[in-house]
Amino acid sequence: MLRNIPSPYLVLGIFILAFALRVYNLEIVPYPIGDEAMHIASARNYSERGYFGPDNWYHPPLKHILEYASLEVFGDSPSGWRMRNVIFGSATIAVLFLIAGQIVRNRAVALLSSLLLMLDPLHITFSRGTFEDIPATFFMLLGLYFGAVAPGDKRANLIVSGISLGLAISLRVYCASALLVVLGIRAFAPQRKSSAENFAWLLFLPVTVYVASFLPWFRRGYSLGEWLLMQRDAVTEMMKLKKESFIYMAGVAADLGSPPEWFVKFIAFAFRIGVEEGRELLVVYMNNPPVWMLILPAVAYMTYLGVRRREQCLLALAATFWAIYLPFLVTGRPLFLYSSIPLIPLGVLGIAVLADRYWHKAAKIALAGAVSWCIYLYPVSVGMNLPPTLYDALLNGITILR
Amino acid sequence: MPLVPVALLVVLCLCANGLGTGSRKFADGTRIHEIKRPEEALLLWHKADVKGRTVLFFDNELAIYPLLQGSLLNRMEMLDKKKSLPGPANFVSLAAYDGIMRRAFIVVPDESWPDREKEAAYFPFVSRHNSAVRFTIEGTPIVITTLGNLPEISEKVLLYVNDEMLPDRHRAYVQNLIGARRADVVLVKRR
Repeated sequence: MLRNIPSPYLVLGIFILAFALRVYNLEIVPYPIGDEAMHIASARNYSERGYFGPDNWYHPPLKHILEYASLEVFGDSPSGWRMRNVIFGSATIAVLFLIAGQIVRNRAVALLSSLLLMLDPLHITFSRGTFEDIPATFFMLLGLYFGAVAPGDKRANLIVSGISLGLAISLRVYCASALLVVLGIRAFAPQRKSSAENFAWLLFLPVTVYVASFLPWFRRGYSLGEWLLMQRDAVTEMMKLKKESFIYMAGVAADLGSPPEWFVKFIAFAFRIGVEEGRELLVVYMNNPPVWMLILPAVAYMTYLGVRRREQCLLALAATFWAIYLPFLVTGRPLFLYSSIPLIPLGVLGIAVLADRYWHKAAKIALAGAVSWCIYLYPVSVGMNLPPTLYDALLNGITILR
Repeated sequence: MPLVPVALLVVLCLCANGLGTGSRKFADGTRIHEIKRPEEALLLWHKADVKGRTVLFFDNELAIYPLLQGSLLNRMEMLDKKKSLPGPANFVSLAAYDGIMRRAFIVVPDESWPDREKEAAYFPFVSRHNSAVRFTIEGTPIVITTLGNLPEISEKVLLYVNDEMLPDRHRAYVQNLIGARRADVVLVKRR
């Protein structure tokens, strides 16, 4: 295993490259598209007055605070709206590289797997938007790294993991799966700190961060008891979401991808943002079957290896993947392609483990081919104006939402 | 077990609770105003500079569907970076948006309760329990109930009374609240 923490310059270089790939042409859409208008308005409403709307109020509110920070620092502009995700999306690649460095022997495999996520079309597109799944995934991976993957058993790791997982849960509740996995791993790891210490830092810190994210809401006059009632109301409302709640998407829901389809078939849809020289300009959201079809078998292999070798790092990553994905498969409410965002880095890490195990000529060619394919898709992800013949076969017939 | 993370959580919870309850603003004394249109309530609440309050509505005209429609109207305006003009449909949700109202109780006559239950059944996210119907407007809780099932409210309230359809029992309760100085701003709607 590559046990050394890689050079900080290499990690920084990966972040910079990912950032450059995501920030390119960020203002290509000069107005909010999809749910962006809702996210931007809610960022101001929540941070300035503790009011959740117009976004769905039952989601955790840290996304509004982070989005507001982006607006304040980078301005109320297309760049300002989207910079939060550009930064956290790029940082996700750097954390993925750190994790990969701990679970594979070959640095080349770690680098190539980072490239796979760096160039993943869906991760790029959402890193250029305002959906909170991007920063949630970053903090979840960071929490996993310090909680279950990083070498050594320092208290500082527990603290950083606890805070990171708290931030992740304050963005997306499904990240609680990662917290449960880290707690479980540590409970059964004899060489780690005592259970009481693990439990204290890894449970109370995330809860503290979660409660703190509601401080703007408390300023509206609410007490702690009313906060507990509000949490109950939020759970009640989320549990009652059904397909009918998304009636406005009824006509196109089938084209937006459901969890059983994410890793087995090509899914693509787009927003029309204009017409230029007789051609439609689109923002395309799509998965990447040549890579994604490897994810389920790769994560299954990572699970098997983790159990057989009792490798906590592998078990933590695999368990988090299944703990998020399996409930998605059985939930009654519709879930669209963007909900797969937290699974992509975990899946890519599974591919890294598989490639590392079978690192011979065929695997090298396959991995290099996958990266090349991702490079081919990059212009579509960032809306580059290229000859349409290059992508007609790929995009012909996809659902266009606007 | 290390006490630092536990202490951090306890301190934060105490601070959050104190921040919340300390943010509530009350008016001096008891002020009674007569209004003709529901949306005048918003103007008067702003004038009284009250914040984070419990509002008691004695008004059988307020119902789930129009309140949700008013909230939706406000939502649409927010997407265009605008604020809605107050009207009968949306003044309640605007009161929530402006931070005046943090929760509301709508007290209805006993005889109209069956209709309220029927209406609530249409909305899957509305909870029904013990002769009370609970739902939220962008997270702001609203409870529709009868006078006999109104919970004890220890703080001063904002009162909104529709005088045209007020049962005697409700009138006596309202007068008692005012007499006991448990309401600082009282709005009475009459045509």
